Amino acid sequence: MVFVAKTKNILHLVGVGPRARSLGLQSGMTLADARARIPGLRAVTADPSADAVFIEHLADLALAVTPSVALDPPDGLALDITGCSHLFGGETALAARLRDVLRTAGVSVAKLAVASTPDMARALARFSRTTPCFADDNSLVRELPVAALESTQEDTTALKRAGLKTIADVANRPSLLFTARFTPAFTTKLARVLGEEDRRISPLRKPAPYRAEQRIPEPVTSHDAISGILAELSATVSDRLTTHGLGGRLFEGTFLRADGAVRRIRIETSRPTRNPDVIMRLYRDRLDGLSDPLDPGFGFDMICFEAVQVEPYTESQATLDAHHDRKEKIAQLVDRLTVMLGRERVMRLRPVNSHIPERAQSVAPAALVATSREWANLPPSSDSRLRPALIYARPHPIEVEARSDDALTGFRWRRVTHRVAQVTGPERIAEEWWRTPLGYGTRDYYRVENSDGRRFWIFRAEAPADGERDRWFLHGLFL
Amino acid sequence: MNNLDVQAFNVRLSLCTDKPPVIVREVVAAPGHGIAAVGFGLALAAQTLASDPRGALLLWVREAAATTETGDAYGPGLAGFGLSPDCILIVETRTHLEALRAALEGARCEALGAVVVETMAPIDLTASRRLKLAAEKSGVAIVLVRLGGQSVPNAAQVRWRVQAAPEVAKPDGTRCAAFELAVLKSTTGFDGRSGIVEWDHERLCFAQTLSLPVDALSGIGPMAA
Repeated sequence: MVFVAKTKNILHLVGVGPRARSLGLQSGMTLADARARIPGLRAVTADPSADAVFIEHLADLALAVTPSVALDPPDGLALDITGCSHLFGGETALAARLRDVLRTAGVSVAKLAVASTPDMARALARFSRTTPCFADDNSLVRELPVAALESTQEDTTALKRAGLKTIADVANRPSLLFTARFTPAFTTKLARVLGEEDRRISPLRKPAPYRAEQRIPEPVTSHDAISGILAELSATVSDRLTTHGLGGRLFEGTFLRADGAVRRIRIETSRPTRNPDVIMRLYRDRLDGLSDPLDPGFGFDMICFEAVQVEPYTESQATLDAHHDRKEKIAQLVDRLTVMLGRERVMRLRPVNSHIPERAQSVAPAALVATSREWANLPPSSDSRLRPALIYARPHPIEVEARSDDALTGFRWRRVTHRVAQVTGPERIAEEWWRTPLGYGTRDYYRVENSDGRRFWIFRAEAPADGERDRWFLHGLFL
Repeated sequence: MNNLDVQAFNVRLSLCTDKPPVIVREVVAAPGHGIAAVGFGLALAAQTLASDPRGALLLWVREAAATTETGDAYGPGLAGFGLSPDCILIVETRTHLEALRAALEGARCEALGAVVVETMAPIDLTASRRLKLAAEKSGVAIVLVRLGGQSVPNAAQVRWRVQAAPEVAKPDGTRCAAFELAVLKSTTGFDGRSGIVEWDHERLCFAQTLSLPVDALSGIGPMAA
């Protein structure tokens, strides 16, 4: 099986399966050539974006051995295992563990190399015949072909023509020659591959300073055990936050399952928090409220907890200030509801300066707006009883019966005919010409009371251009 | 409506005299009068908030089905009703169960003044009892507003059936919302009585209409003279 991609209108092989490789196919060949050799070849169009997603998933899995994982394009991962190997009992054991982890994800041909710099490891992983390959010094890398320097095609050819076959051939000559012939980047790359110059990898997720993790030798499945571990981790994290005078706004729990699945669960708080009890309570609510519950499967073998976003935390003497205490409690309530239902479902209303009724308020997530006195500070309107307490976001079309032009006798809404007992109005509300028209034109609002005493807010939209019929809408209900 | 004039009660009962105090009240909408039930429920909450000098908040839990029925909360109108949107926290839930959970969170929070739960289906004994126990500890007033469904026994201490009544014009020209109530259950033996109360959105209390002196619809709280 091979993967193909189209370059310059020719289908080239970009990925070659183990079986196809054993039959002599290589990536870079045209599909036509490959088909000529092996008529029954299965060719699949390459999907780079799916590959990228899969590699990112592998990067998540690699977190099992080190917190510092970076993508190594096009198809590699770079892991900084400084200080990690002793946890597994040496580099060999670490590599074996990584292989196991990757195997659960279905990756069987992963090439591994451990070396002192990322570039040396990359060269070894990609060009060395042994895998896993452990390099203590640059002797192994010196035996690699010059292609391992991954310079341009012309440069590699130029080196080969000059009789320089291996990296050692290049390294034994003064670097000045190469700087003059090629680019300074070439000599830098050479130094890096030889381990003379180091480069830091930039990890996908920066190890958060406020992070605690627990590896579990015997994978846990019970929810009590999981939340027990989480509680310990959150206590560790909040201790560290306390030391630095910070509180977390966004916490993330990462659950690595024994079979390779990774689950991240985030909770957000409306103000900096570091009380482990509060955090754990939110977490429990979140876990209970998940639409797809946290499935332990065969058990989690690692649980991480980190404060992703931190902010300065101001200490307050809550016991002395009752008002502050209340605010704090409300904020906690908002957090719990937000965690349970989602941010958009816990709302506050805010006034907006517009005379179009549906634009006169905005609905904001309560987690983002603090309690304030926005409405109380509005200038008092002439008669606020003229506005309904409940409105429909989209006015409902209704049919009206009128005796003459201005005397409403009844209207039909939701299949019920209402007899009109009393009408107040009209109140004319014009469009805001400087904004996108809402499609109703100038509206005439009427406050209508029906024979039962129910009160409605209905309006007549501006008559359409052809002047056929008035359009009437029901916009709101008075309490 | 016909029998209302014979129900002239002289007893003036208020929340304070109710023993034990009324914590959970239920407002049931008469068929087609969902909006009146919501209005009366909010008025009860507004009255509770007004009696709290610390400026407490109202948690208004709304089921998605109820929102489709009665529309979205509208700040300017609520302000006109006597409930400043500054002190309202609105929660919209997808399901009945979520509404109960959100209400329970609210009932546990001492910093709230009142919780109004607007649902289509009735809240059963277990759920309402849980709310009551939580609210007893925290001192939050609970108002259950039911827009539909069959009546089921629950822990509400007072229950009314509400329908809209024509607005009342006051001498100064302003108009007050009015509600026609029937007491379905009470702690003080007013079951079966009915009458009309009007909501004074300026003084934030219920007043009785001039024509129908119904003074003792238990559990409403202090009335204006």
